[in-house]
Amino acid sequence: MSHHHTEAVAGLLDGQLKGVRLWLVKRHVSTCPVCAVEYRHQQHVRRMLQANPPVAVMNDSPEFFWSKVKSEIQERGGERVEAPMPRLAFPDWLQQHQFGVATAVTSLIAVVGLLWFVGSFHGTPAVTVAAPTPIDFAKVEQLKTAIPNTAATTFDSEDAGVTVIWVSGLPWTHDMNEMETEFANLDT
Amino acid sequence: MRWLAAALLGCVLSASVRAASIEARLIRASNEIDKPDEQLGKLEPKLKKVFGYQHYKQLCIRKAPLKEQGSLRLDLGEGIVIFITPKTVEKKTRIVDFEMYSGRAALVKSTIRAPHDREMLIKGPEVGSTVLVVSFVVVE
Repeated sequence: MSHHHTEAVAGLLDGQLKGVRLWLVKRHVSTCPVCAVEYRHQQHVRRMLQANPPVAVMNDSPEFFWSKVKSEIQERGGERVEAPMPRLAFPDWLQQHQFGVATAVTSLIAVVGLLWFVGSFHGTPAVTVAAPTPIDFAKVEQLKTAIPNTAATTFDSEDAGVTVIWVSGLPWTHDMNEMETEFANLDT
Repeated sequence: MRWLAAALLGCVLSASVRAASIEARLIRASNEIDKPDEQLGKLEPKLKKVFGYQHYKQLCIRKAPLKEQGSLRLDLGEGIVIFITPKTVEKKTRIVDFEMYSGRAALVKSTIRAPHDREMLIKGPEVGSTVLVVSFVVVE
């Protein structure tokens, strides 16, 4: 709404605008000096008309006037008269057809949802989750220790993918030399 | 002519039977702050998951063909010696007797059904704040 619209200003004063169009015209009139002047001018004219309503001067009596109109209608008979249709702006058109638009949008959403549901039900390939391949671990069939107070256990480490033999209870030594000496003299 | 046929047959059979070998390592696990031992390669993450130490150093590696008859002796240093005696072969699995010695002391004796290329880890003695670990794998 960036141009001067006399019709819009008149519509605003007549209370014909609604919704977004009303808001747009009000905003424009408040910011556009030309339209503000037009608004005040038309408002003044309307006040003047309200204060001084026009008095119709008619020489004919009402009965005679009506008889003339009636005969005119009868003369024209079935003559078709084209009445000009006002051109609607998009917001006005939306407002006029709001129920139709709402129905169309709802139907579209329903159809899209239905298609999506049918597509996901039939068209999507089935996702198959393969069972993890079992790791072929080594198996410890026999396990024994000969040193007194020692024990050996075995387990499979799933994370590392290895089989472990855990020997516990072995004598602790301070360093490698001590270990060699200690174990060298340990007879099993 | 018979000798030639026998020799050819022998060549064919020997070519069809792939020789297995054993790769064994002696590893020291510690919490020392040091750069990773590149010799361990893919084995280090496995060691970390099992033992939880921060650093692993390969002290020795031995690789030798597996004897079909008799024991294979591998001296891994630091007084640690392992003996591997093959028993039978089942598809891709070898059943072997495994013995680990330190000096004269048999630390552990076991019979293992070892798939090819599957690592075995043996937690050995603790020395100071470190632990000795033996790993071995049957390589075809």
